[in-house]
Amino acid sequence: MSKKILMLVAGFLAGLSLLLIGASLIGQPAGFRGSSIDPADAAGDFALLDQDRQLFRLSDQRGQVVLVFFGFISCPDVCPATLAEFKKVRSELGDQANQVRMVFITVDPDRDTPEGMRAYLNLIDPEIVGLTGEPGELEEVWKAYGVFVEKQVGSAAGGGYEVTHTARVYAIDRQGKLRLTYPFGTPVEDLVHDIRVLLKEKVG
Amino acid sequence: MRSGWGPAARILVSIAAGLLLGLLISEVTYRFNSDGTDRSPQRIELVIPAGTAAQVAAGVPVDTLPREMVFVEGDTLVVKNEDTTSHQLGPVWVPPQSTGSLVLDRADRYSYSCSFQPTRFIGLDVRPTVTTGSRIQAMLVLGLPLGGLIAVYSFLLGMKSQKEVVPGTLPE
Repeated sequence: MSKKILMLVAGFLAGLSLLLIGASLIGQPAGFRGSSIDPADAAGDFALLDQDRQLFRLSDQRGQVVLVFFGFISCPDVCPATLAEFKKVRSELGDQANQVRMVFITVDPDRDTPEGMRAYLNLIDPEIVGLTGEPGELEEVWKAYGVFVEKQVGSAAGGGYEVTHTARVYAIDRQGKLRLTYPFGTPVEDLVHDIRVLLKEKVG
Repeated sequence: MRSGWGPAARILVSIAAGLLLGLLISEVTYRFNSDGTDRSPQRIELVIPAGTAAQVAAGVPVDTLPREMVFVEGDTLVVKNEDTTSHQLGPVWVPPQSTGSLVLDRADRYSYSCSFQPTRFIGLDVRPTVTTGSRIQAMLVLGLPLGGLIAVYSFLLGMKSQKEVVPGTLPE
């Protein structure tokens, strides 16, 4: 076989490989994977009691990315699943996890005390900040974040109640702006990806 | 194919021929089967007008979206909220007077809550889109086994022609 033909065939295969690499790169999604908010305004500030009965104020967290989730301790499904995801996110972030705060705010202030929060979060991840407060204070926070909260009396075993609530995760950037939201079930890798993007941004 | 070619050249040429054939078959099949829903990713904008939440609360029907919405992978769903309260359309939550956007990068069927649907739920159907990458993938899936088969066939042909060489003469 002549060298010319061999060179042509080899060139064709090499060109095809380059095309494949190019196509796979073009297919990579760019930007954020969560739902972004524009214009990104300052996230609603709040000051609530954490599991150690210390006051936690959102505006004091500037310089860190904050993930916020609303739920309650006796939640049977969505809350433990989301908090377990938070733990995985922290683990995936490695050293960068020091620049991220994960916050769990109660939608059930009648039952969720700071002590209860501590016991509950110790079982999942004690680095997650569990916040509670007076019902009036919390209602303001829920309203600011568009959180739906409704008691379902008699729905729990033993005649207790469960709370139907929004299961969204909020991401607040290092400047304190509400940037992204995620529906329940968002893969851990998407959260990690977006947090890394937010951490790369310069703080003005 | 001439019997004088070395094994490496024979395999190389067979793979190239298989890939060309694979490209031809996959492209022709794609043209015949394309149902018209296949398109490039787009930016799809929806507006929630002022007063929507009040209308929903009062039980007044609003101009709602269809219960099922069809997108293609890579579409950007943009929701502009002109109302005075926050709204949710599937995975996109939008504070008042803001715009929420999300790149739908995974083909699947989703069911989400929606704050301005009478049913409170909306279905999102995100369909896979045919990209250059997926067309090349189709060519490879078809072409590589074909190339292998052509190579085997050419080796068999070579062995047969060697057996048929008259003793005392040299093969070409």
